[in-house]
Amino acid sequence: MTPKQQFRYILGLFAVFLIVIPVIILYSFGYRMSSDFKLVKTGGIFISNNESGASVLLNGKLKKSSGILDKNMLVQNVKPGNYTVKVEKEGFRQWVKYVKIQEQLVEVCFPLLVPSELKSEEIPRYLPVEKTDLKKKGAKRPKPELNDDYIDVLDLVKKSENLSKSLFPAWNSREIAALKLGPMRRLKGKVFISNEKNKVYVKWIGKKDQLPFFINTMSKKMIYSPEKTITAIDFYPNRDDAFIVRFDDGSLYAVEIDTRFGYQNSYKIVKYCSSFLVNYEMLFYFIGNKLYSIDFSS
Amino acid sequence: MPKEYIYENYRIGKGDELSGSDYLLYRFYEILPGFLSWLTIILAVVCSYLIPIYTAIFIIAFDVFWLLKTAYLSLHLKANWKRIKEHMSANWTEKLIHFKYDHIYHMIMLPFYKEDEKLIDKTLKSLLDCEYNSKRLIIVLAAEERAGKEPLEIAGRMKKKYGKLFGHFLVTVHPDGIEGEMAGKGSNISYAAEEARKLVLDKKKLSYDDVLVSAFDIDTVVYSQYFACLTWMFLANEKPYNTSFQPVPVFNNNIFDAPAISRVVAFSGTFWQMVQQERQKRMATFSSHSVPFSTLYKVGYWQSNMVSEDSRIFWNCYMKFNGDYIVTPMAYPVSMDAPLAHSFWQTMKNIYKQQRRWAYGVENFAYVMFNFSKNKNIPKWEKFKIFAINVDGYWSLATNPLMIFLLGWLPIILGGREFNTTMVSFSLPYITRDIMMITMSNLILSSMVAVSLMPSIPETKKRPKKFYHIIQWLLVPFTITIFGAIPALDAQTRLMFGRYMGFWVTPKHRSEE
Repeated sequence: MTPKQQFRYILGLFAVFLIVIPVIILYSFGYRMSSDFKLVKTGGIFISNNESGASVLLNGKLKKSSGILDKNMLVQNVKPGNYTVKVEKEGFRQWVKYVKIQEQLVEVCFPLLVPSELKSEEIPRYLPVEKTDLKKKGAKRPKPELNDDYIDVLDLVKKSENLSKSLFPAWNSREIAALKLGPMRRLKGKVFISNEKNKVYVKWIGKKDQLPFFINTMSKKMIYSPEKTITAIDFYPNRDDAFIVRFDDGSLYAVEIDTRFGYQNSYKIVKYCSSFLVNYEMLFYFIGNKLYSIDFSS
Repeated sequence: MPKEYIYENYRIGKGDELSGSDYLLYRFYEILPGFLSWLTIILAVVCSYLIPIYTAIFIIAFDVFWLLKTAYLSLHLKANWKRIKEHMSANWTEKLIHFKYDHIYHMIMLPFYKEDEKLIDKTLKSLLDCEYNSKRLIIVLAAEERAGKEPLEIAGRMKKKYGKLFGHFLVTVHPDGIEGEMAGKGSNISYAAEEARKLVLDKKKLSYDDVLVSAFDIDTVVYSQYFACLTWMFLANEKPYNTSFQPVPVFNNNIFDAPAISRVVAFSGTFWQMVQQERQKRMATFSSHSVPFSTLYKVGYWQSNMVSEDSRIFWNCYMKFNGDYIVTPMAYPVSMDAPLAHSFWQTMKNIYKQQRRWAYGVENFAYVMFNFSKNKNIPKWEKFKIFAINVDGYWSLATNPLMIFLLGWLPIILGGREFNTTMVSFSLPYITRDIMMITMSNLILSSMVAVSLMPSIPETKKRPKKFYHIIQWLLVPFTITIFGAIPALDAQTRLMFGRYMGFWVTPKHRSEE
């Protein structure tokens, strides 16, 4: 390649650089060209989501859908103003929020997508007795064998009642002990929720610069004040931005922590139970001695 | 009146050979590249925390700059690819008819340590198979005393087998423990060249001006017209004694045995050399290269007190001739071994160590700058250009992949809540990703060039391998970070702290054929 050619290429690419850089930077800061060729400032909405195939609608208009790999959704080019944001997915209950968009800023939303029909499965206390054993003449009715899965859940219940004491002390075990965790006081990561006088409070116990948007304050914040009496609370399976509450009528509700914009989504998920337990993606609940489970991973 | 520059006084290997202000100046230049690289990384972290918005703007601008730089380099790669194809298909023997060239001899330096006999045999065979009068080739098989007896026995057998087929065949044994020397290729071939001068050139009364020395690695396999091409370029050159000749190293010898990472790293090295071949003024010699014997004799052969003798020899000549020295790009390949060992992890270790040794070429920076401060015969503008080119080169190698693939995310991690609510914070990953995707499209050209430079797939290998040779290029972000930036940063840091490296011989391994 001749030096002349090189010089020409450098000059051309430098010109491209000078033209492209301001355009990309303005774009990244939310500037857009309006239909009358004026530069306008826009904002955006970021949907923190872990469901593929979910769609986000702004004022009823479809804006984006999540893919298999890219589940979070960034909606750009949104003019400043108030919007009704809906997140939908087939087979799930609709999530709605009323959001105010400001120029050059992005509002982060944490939609709680709860399946429309939750399939609960009973976990029997005893393993079924094989029919061949019953048919044998003169044979005594065999003693039913306890189901290990049932026993495991009972163990989990015991542990959940005394969460502050763990087998292996954590580095922050003193801090955790001070929280006095139990059926009315739960901790997930750095999100602490508690029920005090039938009101649910949230507190971020982590660093200020890591404070999640769905809490938005370092102070203790009241997030839920129902009319019915709360008997127990726990985090929603696999999430720290939503919780499950059991009322004195035995019903279970899933409630999001995020109370920004004056609207809070909550969904009834179980009509009646005597107690419940959340373990990772599983929700277990008892009706009398009968144990049921709902798998939230699928 | 300024002191006259005497090149011989300044063949410095490392800073601790000097004292007083010279020591301080040399150490300053040894520290500078590593300092600039670390400063960049530290600033990226600090600025992401303190001024995330400005850092994000810088990252976007840098991503675009990198995209355009990649496009610019790809144009060079394409141009050199075209030139290589032309040179490979040209009949250089026929072109030589226009010159008188019977008096030209080629001295081929083949330093070896403990390499396998078969490998040495293959290298010698390729020399014999060249379309060039083998009686005009002087083979110097340079063994090391410290390697023990076996290499000497191999050398003896090679001399017996090939001795009479070449013009001259000299076996030299570099003595161990010569004071002031670093054990390595430089000291070995310098000793061997002096031995060859006394025992062959002087004895046979061959003119130093008529001998071209090719300093090869023991795995260097030449293509059939290499010496014809080299002779033509030497004879056609306006200043044949003020230039070194640089072929393009391709790593084809064991390319079908080497794992994908090794292939990608090896070809990346080849591509860089191809790009440099189109930027003659930025070139220094690298790995296998050729130089007139008389020039080599004048500069005192390769330096024996440092690691990167292959590139240092260019700077030695540059200083000796007061800047009137240049590399002639041959755009003609020589084939070498890609790093390969008996196990995958050993191969990875070898790649890392080889890349670190190459990156240790940063030791030349202090040598060049120190000599610039002494040599007043080179124009200041020329010195500044070389300073800028070198600083940019070492800095880019050690920091750019880190900035592109890792540090670009820092403002999002460290920028804090206020920054994380801005449009730019959310746009940054998407914009960076999109620019990277466009940049990566240049790899299509890379894979095409690589496939065209590779030998045809042997019948013993499975056909689907060709497909892997194309998709392997997706490993580039990984390889240029782990086997590019990190070893370069490692080498610069060692030099910065005065923990000088020794010469590491890349083990050669080929699967049984």
